[in-house]
Amino acid sequence: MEWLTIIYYFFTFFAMYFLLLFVLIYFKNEKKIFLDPKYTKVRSLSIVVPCYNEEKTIGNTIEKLLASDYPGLEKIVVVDDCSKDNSYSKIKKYEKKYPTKVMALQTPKNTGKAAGSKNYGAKFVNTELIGFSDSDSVCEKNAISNMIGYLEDEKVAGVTSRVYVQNTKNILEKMQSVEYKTIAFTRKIMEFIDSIYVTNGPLSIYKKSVFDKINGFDESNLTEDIELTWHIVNFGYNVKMAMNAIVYTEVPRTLKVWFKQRIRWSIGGMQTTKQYTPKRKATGILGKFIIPYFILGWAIGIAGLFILLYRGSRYIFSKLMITKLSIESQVALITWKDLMISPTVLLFLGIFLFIVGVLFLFLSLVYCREDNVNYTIFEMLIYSFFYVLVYPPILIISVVKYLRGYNTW
Amino acid sequence: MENKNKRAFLEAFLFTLGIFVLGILFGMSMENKNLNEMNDAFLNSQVTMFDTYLITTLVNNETSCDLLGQEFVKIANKIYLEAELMDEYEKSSQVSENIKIVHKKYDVLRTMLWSTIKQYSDKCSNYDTVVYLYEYNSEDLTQQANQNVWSKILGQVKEKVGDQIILIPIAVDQNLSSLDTILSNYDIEKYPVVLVNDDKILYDTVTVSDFLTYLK
Repeated sequence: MEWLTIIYYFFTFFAMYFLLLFVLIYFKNEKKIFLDPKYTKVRSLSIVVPCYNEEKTIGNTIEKLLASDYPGLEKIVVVDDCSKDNSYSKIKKYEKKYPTKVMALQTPKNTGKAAGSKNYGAKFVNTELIGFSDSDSVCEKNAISNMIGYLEDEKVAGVTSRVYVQNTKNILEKMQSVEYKTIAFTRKIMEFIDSIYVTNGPLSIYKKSVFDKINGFDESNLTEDIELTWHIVNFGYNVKMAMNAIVYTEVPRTLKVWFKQRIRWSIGGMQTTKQYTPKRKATGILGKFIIPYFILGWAIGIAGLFILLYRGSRYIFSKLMITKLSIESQVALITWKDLMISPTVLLFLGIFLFIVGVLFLFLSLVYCREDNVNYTIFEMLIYSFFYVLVYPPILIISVVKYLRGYNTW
Repeated sequence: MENKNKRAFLEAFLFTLGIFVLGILFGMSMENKNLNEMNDAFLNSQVTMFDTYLITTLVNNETSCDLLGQEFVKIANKIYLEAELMDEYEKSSQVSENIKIVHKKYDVLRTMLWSTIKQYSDKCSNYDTVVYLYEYNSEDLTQQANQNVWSKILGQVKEKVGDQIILIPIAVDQNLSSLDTILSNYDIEKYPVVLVNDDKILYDTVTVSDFLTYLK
C-alpha cells in the first residue's frame, strides 16, 4: 500500500469518527436539544458591550438589550475603546436617556482588543452574573431569560447563545449564515459531552464569581472568548448553550474583512492551544477531547491541503503534458477510459463520509431554520464544495503569521 | 456528562472501526473477484499461447505461415484486451497488491509471444509486429504522459488496421531475465519505445497516419 493511501485511510478514519460521534450524540439527546431549563430565581445581571467604531449599530444593540424580558438585567455597561467615530457620544445619549440602566464608559486609551474593553467594563460590574455582547449583535427579547436557567446548576459557570447572521444579501454572507447554523448545531451537540469550546462574543453570560476567579479575559489572546471558555472548563466547570437564546450578528461583507477575521480566529485558537498544553496543564474533557479535537482538526486540514496540492499539481502537470502530446499526435484528448472512475475502498468510504456530512449539514439547517432565510441548491453546493475548502489555506497562512508573532486585531 | 453520552465516544469508535472493517472486507472481496477473473483469463491465455507455440513447431511452408500469422494475431489481441481490463482492476486495487503479480505473469507471456514471433519473422512476414515497451512503475510525470499518449496512438492504430498488426505491450521494469536478454540486443536509450517490425525504433510520439507509414 502506498504511503498516500495510508494517510488517506488515517484521515478518513478520524473524520468519520468525529462525524459519527456527533450523529450518535444527536440521536441520544434529540429530545433535549431545545429543552433550556427555566430559571426559578431572579439573579442580578449586567451586560458589558465593548464598542469600537460602531456608531451605526451600537444603538440597536442597546435598544434590544433594554427590551429584554429578563427582570434581573440591572445594567448595560457600554465600553467605548476610544473610537474614532461618534460611538461614545451616542452611548452617552443612551446613558442620559436610561440613567438607571445604561452606563457609558470609555477606556483611558485604546486597548486595541475586545478583551481590553471587556475587562475594563467588568471592573464596574457588581452583579451576580456578568454577560458580554458584541456591539454589532442584537438579541431576541427572550434570549437572556432562556439562558439564565442553566446557571442555577452549581457546576455550570457559563452559558452561550445561538447566533444567526443578520446580513444575508451576498453569497459570502449567505455562506456564513449556513456556517453559523452548522456551528450552532454542532456546539449544542458538543454540550452533551461537556465540550463546548467557545462561548461566543454576540451573547454569553457567566457567573461573576468564576469570571473573577479566572481573572477575566486574557488580553494577550486574539480569541479571548475561546481562552475564557477553556479556562472555565479547565477549572472543572461546565459551559452550556441555550438553543432558544437567539442573537443576530453582523458578519463580514467582503472577502478581505472575512479573511482577516478568520486569520484572527485561527491564530487565537493556536495561541490558546499553546497556552493550555505545556503551561497550564489541561485537565478533564479539555485535555482529553477538546484540545486533541482542535489539534487533529488542524492536522487534517493542513496535511489535507498539502496532499491536495501535491496530487493536484501532479494531475495538472500530467494533463498538460498529455494534452500537448495528444495535440501533436492528433489523438483524442479525452477518452472514455479517462472519464471512468475506478471503484476503490477509499472511494466508497469517501462517499459514505460525504453523505453523512451532507445529512448532518441538512440536520443543522433544519434545527436552525429561519422563516425569512432560504438557501438555494447552488448555495449549498458552493458551501459544501468550495467554502469549507478555504479553511486549510487560511490555517496555513495563520500558522506562518503566528510563527512570525502576529498579534493584532 | 451522562453515562449514555460518555459511552458515545467508544460507540463512535466501534462504529467507525466497523465501517472501516466492512469497507476493507468489501474491498478485499472485490479485489479477490477481480484477481480470480484475471487469473482465469491468464490461464486461458496461457493455454492459447502454448497451443500457438506448438503450431510454430509445425510450420514448414507458406500456407502454415498464414495459419501462424492468424494464431499470433489471435493471442496478441486476446492479451491486449485483457491488459485493458487489468489496467482498470489495477486502479481499483488498494488493499492487496496481488494483481501486480498477474501483471508480471502477463509480461512473461507477452515476452514469450514476442520471442516466438521473432523466431519466425524471417520465414513469415505477412503481418506487422509492434512491440510497445514501457515502464510500469514509473513516477516520472513526463514519462507517464508519453506512455499515456503512446497507448492512445497504438489503440487507434489497432482500431484502424485491425488484425494486420500484432500489438504487444510489455512492461520492461518487471525484472524478467528473458526480456532483459532480448532487450540487450537492441540499443534502447529510453522508455517508452515502440519497435515496429524489429527494425524501426520510435521514441517520440507520432501521428497515427505517420505511424501507418512504418507498417508493411
